[in-house]
This record gives sequence, C-alpha cells and structure tokens, in this order.
Amino acid sequence: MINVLIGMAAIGGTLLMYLAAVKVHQHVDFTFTLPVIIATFMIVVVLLTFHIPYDTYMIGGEWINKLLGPAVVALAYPLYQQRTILKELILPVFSGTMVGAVVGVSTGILLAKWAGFDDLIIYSLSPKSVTTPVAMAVADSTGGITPLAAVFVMIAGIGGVMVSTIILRFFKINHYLGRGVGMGCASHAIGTAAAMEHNQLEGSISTVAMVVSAVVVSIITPGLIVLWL
Amino acid sequence: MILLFVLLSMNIVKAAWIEDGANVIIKNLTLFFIPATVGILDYMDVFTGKGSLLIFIVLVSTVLVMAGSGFVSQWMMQRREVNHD
Repeated sequence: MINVLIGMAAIGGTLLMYLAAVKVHQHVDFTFTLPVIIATFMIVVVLLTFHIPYDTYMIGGEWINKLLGPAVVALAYPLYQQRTILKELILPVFSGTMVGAVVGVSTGILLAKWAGFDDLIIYSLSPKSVTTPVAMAVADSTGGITPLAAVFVMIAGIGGVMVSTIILRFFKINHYLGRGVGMGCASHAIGTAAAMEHNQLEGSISTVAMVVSAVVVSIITPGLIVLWL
Repeated sequence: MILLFVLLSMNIVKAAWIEDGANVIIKNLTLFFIPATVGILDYMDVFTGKGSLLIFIVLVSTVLVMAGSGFVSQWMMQRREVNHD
C-alpha cells in the first residue's frame, strides 16, 4: 500500500516539476533551461534534501520510464509526414551518421584512455552517443556498467543539446540536414526532441540519424574498443 | 517505431488518427527521460574528483560528433546542390 502511495507521489511530483519547468522555459528560453534540465535538477535537489534514495523515487519513476519506449514510437509520425524528402536525402544523412558514430565511439574511448580511466569506465562510456536502451545493451555486451552507461548517455544528450546552438553556429552548420544529423548523432532522442521543436523536417532527419547511429554503434563499438584499447 | 512507420505507409493506420496524440507526445518527449536522468544520483561519486573529467570528455566527444556528422552531411548536401545546377 505504502508503495502505491510513494509511486503516485513520485509520478505526480515528476509531472508537476516538468510542467513547472515548461512554464519557466517559456519565460527563460535558452538551451540550458530546457524543461528536462530544470525538472531533473529540481527533483535531484528534492531527493538529496530529504535523503530519499533513487530506488524509492523509482517506485513511481519506473512507470514514466517504461513509457519512454512507446513514446519514442510516436516519432514514426513525423517520419511518415516527411518520407518523400527523407528518401531523397538518404545518402548525405547516412554518410554524416556513419562519421558521427565512428567519431563518437573513438573519441570517447581515446580521451578516456588518455585521461587514465579504467577499462570498465571506458566500456560504459563508449556507446554514449546513442539512445539509452541500445547504449546499455552495448555496454552490457562489452562488459561495462549498464546504469553508468545510461548516465553517460544522459550527459551526451542533455549536454549536447545545451551546447548545440553555439556549436552548430560556430561550425556554420545551418542547413536543416546538417543540424538534424548533428543533433540525432550526438544527442539521440533528446537531440531529436530539441530538433523537432525547431522544425519537423530537422526533427525527422534527427530521428533517422538517431536510429541509424544506434545500429552502427552497436556493430562497431566492440571492434573500436579492441582497436583503440 | 519502424513498425508504426510501415503501418502508416501502408495506410493501415491513417496519419490523421494519431496526429494529435503523436504531436503531444513528441512535444513533451523529454518528460519521459526524467526518471532516467535523475539516475545520475546513484553515480554522483563516480563524478567527483578525477571523475568530473569524464563529464568534460563526454561533452568534448559529443561536440566532435555533432560538428563532424553535421559538417559531413551538410557538405554532401551542398555538393549535391551544386552538381544539380
């Protein structure tokens, strides 16, 4: 019984924080005030202040988490709307995505290796540019720490979106194709959500990049680990 | 997702049916990430001290991915547009 109450409090609390964060974002519109960032920060503060362990929060939280899979399915809709254009753009999207996947995994491995981190951390870090379930599966298969991999994915996702405006502008990536591929490869579904807010075509390209990235990374990561480590 | 795309393409599921729902979900997609992002709580100690370098590494790598993939795809796009003229 108490679990049901805790669960409902967790779900309700998360929803409230999110809605409050959306309101804040409406007034303070920067990439680092995305609702997900504000809401996560607030919830972490609350949990830490009241010494509530993550597991307790997750009694309710896991239900929202479970909905992430189905929610991602909704991306099929914009993909469908944009299908004719997407078909034409397949080659540039694929090429960009392949480059992104290789760069992502390789730089992750190399930088962590040069900084002297253990292999376990490196294994968990390498698939960080792709969507969480795939990243966790890859980390698992290479012997990494799956929940840690999920954390790295979150950093890549949120961090990526936060710096995206500056980075894309700096490298003069202003075509919707470049932007979409960049967001999808670097920040997976969070990047896609951000791209979608900008423009549906950009978001759809991002979705394609995200999915292709996930497939490519799951294939090349073990090989790249062997190569670079 | 691919399944839904196929169903939509085959018109078994009509786009108009899911339009409103899909748009609402996509608009609020980041809500569903929150329980996962709060998960960083369990790994706070990994990121203390030398571990904070990891955050920097992920960010640098992410930037490189974004710049690299974006640039390559955009370059190919522009090349193609030039060739078509």
